[in-house]
Amino acid sequence: MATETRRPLHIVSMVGLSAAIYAANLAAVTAMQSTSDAQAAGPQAPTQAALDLLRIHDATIAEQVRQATDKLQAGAAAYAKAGAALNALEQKLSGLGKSAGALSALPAVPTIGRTAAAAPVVHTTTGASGAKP
Amino acid sequence: MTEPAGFVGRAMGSPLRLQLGPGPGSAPGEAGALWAAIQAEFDAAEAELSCYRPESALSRLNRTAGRGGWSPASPRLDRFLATAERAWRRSGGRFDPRVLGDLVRLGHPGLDLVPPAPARADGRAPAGATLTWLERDRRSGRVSLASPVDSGGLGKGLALRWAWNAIEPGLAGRGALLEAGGDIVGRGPAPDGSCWRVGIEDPAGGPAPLAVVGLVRGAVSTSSVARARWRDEAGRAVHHLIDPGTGLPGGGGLQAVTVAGSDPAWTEVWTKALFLAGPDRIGDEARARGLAAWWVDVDGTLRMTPAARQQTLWAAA
Repeated sequence: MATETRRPLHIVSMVGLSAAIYAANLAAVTAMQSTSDAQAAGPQAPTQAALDLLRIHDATIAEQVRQATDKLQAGAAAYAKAGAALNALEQKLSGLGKSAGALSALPAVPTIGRTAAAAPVVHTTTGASGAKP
Repeated sequence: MTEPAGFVGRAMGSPLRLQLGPGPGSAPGEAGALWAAIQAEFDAAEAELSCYRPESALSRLNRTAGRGGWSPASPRLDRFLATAERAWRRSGGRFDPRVLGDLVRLGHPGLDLVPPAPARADGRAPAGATLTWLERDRRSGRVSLASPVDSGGLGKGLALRWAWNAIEPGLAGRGALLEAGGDIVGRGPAPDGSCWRVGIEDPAGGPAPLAVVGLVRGAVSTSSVARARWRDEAGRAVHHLIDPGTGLPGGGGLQAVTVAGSDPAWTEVWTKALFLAGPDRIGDEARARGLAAWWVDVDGTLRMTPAARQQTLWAAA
């Protein structure tokens, strides 16, 4: 006598149906969460852009500071060199001052205008051309 | 050692004079050859640029002005026209050789070879004042003029430049001073071994100069209304320094302007342009251009730019 195999089809159907409902709910929740994330991220986009810009500016300023530091160091070196030259010049001037002080009379220096009473002798003159009116 | 030498003549309606300082030995007659070269340059310049000669190249060209045609121009005439146009541009139109018609209208003695320009009662600039008035075709050597032009002092300045260029190579180490009617070009040393001392004449006619300028190398020019004055048909006193904006004598308030520089043609240009700036603006304009300029107000006061002060050896109290 053949034995009839009983298959629990209703159980299988119930399990399948439950899984389907669960999957549908999961999909719905995921979609809702995605929408919510997008809505939250939207207003933050400009802030992010500004932050990126600030980072770029920060890098630029850092580079400028580095260049300025280099220049300052170069300037300090040049100043130190000029200082030595100035010291030498000062010593020469001091020597010149002593020499000038030793002179009893300084040579005459040509003066310009208004102190001389008469004009020096000229080689020629410049003025109006043509016949006198 | 060559002794100082001097030559005197006349060219372009003005006295022409050459002074030579002492220098290393040179062949006999060399100074005479220099003087002959100067006279030849001035004769050629006058033949081509004179507005007083009807047969000059410029007079012939002026008679074609405004007709739209092209006329041949010799190298000298072409150089004069090119310099005049450049001066017109660089001076912002204040130096304008097209005032020839205005001079004719005002009755300038000896100038009657072109039609007189109509009077501008409204005092405005002539139509087209900002457009060019000269076209040059360098390939064919021809030019086209929109209106007649006056060679005036610029022609004399260019003649001085050309004459100086002709003799300078032959000067060797000698100093020389070449002058034509108030315009001067030269280089030291003078016969006494110093720089050349050039007196700025008193436009009021006083016997003593108002200032003395030291000239080591370069040029000095003066524009003055002391001599080139006459009366127009209405009996009004007029002079030859015409304001191109009005067609009438300009620079009221000034008697004379002197400029020192490297080239006699350009010192001549700037004396005119500065004179027409008038007493209120001449100082600023001369300083802005870095010019060594001296000017005399109507009250006889001499003023100068800082650059001029550096070249001034003496000034009247």
